[in-house]
Amino acid sequence: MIYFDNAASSPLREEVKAILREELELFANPSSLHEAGFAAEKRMKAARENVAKALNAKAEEIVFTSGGTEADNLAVLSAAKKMRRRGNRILTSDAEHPAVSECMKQLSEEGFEIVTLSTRGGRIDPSEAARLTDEKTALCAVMHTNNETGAVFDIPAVCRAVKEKNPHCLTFSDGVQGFFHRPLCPERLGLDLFSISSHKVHGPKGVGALWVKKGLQLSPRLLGGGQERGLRNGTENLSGIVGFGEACRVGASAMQEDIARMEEIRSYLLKELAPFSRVIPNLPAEASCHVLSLQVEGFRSEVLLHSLSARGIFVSSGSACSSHKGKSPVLKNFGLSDRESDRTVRLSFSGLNTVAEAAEFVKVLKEIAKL
Amino acid sequence: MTEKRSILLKYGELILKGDNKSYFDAQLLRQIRKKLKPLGEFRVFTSQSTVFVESEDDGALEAALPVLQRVFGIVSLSIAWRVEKNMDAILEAVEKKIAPQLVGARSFKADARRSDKKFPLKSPEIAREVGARVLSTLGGRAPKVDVHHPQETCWVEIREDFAYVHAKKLPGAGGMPYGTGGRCLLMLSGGIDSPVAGWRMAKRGAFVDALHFESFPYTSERAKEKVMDLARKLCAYTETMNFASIRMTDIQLRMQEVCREELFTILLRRSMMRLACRVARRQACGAIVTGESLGQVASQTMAALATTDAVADLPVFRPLIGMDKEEIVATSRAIDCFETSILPFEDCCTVFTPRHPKLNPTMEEVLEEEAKLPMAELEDEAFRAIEFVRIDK
Repeated sequence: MIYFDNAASSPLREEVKAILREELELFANPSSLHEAGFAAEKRMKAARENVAKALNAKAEEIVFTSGGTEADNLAVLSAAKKMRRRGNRILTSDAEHPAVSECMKQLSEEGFEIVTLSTRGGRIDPSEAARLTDEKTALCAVMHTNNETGAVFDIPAVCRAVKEKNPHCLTFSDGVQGFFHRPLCPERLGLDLFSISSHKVHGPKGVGALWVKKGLQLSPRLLGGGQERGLRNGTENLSGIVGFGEACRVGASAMQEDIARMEEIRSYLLKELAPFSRVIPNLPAEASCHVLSLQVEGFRSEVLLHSLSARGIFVSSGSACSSHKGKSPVLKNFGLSDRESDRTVRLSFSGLNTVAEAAEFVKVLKEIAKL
Repeated sequence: MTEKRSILLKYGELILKGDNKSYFDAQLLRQIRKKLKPLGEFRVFTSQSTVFVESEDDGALEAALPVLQRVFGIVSLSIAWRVEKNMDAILEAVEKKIAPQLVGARSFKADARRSDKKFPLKSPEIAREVGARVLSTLGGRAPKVDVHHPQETCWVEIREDFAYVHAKKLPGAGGMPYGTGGRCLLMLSGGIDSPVAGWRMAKRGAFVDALHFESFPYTSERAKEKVMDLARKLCAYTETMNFASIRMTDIQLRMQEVCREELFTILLRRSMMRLACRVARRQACGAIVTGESLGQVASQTMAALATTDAVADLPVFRPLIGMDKEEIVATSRAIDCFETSILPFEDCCTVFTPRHPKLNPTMEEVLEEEAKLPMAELEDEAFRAIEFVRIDK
């Protein structure tokens, strides 16, 4: 199996599997006062520190959630609610994941004015962000790295532009695809809120986190027993959190090597496929090391995907989440025609992939597409 | 009063069978026993055109009802109270169990049947007393009596060992016992129509095997899994099903290279029909079944159907031919297939769909186009790669 669909979900690291096996035997509630509960709390604390370290952040700034979607919802909806009295304008991009864009739809129905930045060519113009920000702008929500094209947006410049025009405006970025694909520190990016997910970085599914800048008070979406400093109530998914922590611990020390590996694979593919005029990469202004979006002329993406799948190579057409919902607007907003979107496949890598796998992919693609 | 209940199953047109009736009876009982087996211990027997299902376990009897409603060959079911053969016991059951069921009905009558002629009262006399008891029990809440067209009938049946009292009738699946009508091969797609066609044939007593055509990689494995899910849904009515699939991709790609686009669908249908007949013969099926309905799409015009029929060497049954989409959808919902049928799957077989299909193809032009390809050879190849799965519920 050659797995080039890591942006959809990634395999567990061996270290993560090992710690999850230990977790199977442990079950106490971290809120319980007895010894077993205290031990659970300590494991959670260690995990929180590991996640915080991976973001160059403080442990108390990490709020564990059920995943990227919940972290996105919590950030956008709670920030909008908090800022409502200051203004009802929200700045966002036209390439957001549905976990953010669907929140925008709901907020728009509730009376917020949603202003959208173009991501044509995989680029956001910070001066446009400045132009569209005014004293009524309550929140700026622009993703860090796009899941379909791998475009990395210039978050520091966008945040600077927005905060210069309106220092009260909160800034949030969906960092699910950016996390561990370059060194990140949300505070230095100029952010107030930043979401991440465990299963995109070799951790278990069902857990993610929202980084909330120290001092920022938000209200919860789920009410209950006061867990996660009252911002995310409900008994913690402890085994998931511990697995996530381990993925962050190992991931942080492997990050440089992993990024180098992904960059190597990506540039290898670009070089090897360059001679074939029927293979057209969709290249954003600045690309993440882990995504390569390609058009293959003469193939609808699902057809190519099924043919590759039959040969044990797993890639994606568009983003996995959008396969439930028909066409995603992201490729169109990137600047592709319907026809070009229809024949776009996405390869996404992790540090566990190898150049040899990329070579095998090229060989199989040549056979299937008769390049 | 001892609260023993039985389920009484009434036959439909099986009653009309002459010398073969015992064969149909036996098939029906076999079906019933088979379907009830996983639910517990039951006593199943027939007596005078009624099947009795009894169990010591009331819960099992309750669970048996919906299962029996899906057995073909039964027109109606009712839950009867089984009581001692004396009028006191009968009337007590009527008062406590039957009368409350009649509250809210517009009209009712009481009726009685007596296979034990030694019972002291005659049928009309029993009916009269039962009717009177319903009226006195319900008082002002009693439905009015209508002996000609009652909405509900309160029945008393005096049999050898017990008397049975019942009122509310539940609808059965109707049709003929499964397996009494021979074996057929259903061309099953992932759409709404073909599962309904298969169900209709099963209802008429035919064993149904399925054949699916796929176009991987233009169709997905998930799409095929969906078709198998539909086959599983049908197995709630049938038993197990032989599910075969044949990959048509190479044939379609070759057609695309050399044949006229407007005839793609017709040529493909003919190829599928030839392959279906080969599969049917191998599995001893006596007919092909399709979900076609006249005029629904371009390949279902009379002329188009004629060109596909021309290659079939077995009868081709199209139980939906005269049905509207609305009617088909209603059946699809009733047999619990609809929600599965409408599941979307990224399906790329539209690549092969002509933009303007020919509505009235002539045999000459079809033959001319077909001659451009080594059909026999291509079909041999497709047939050799056939895959089989056995499907059950």
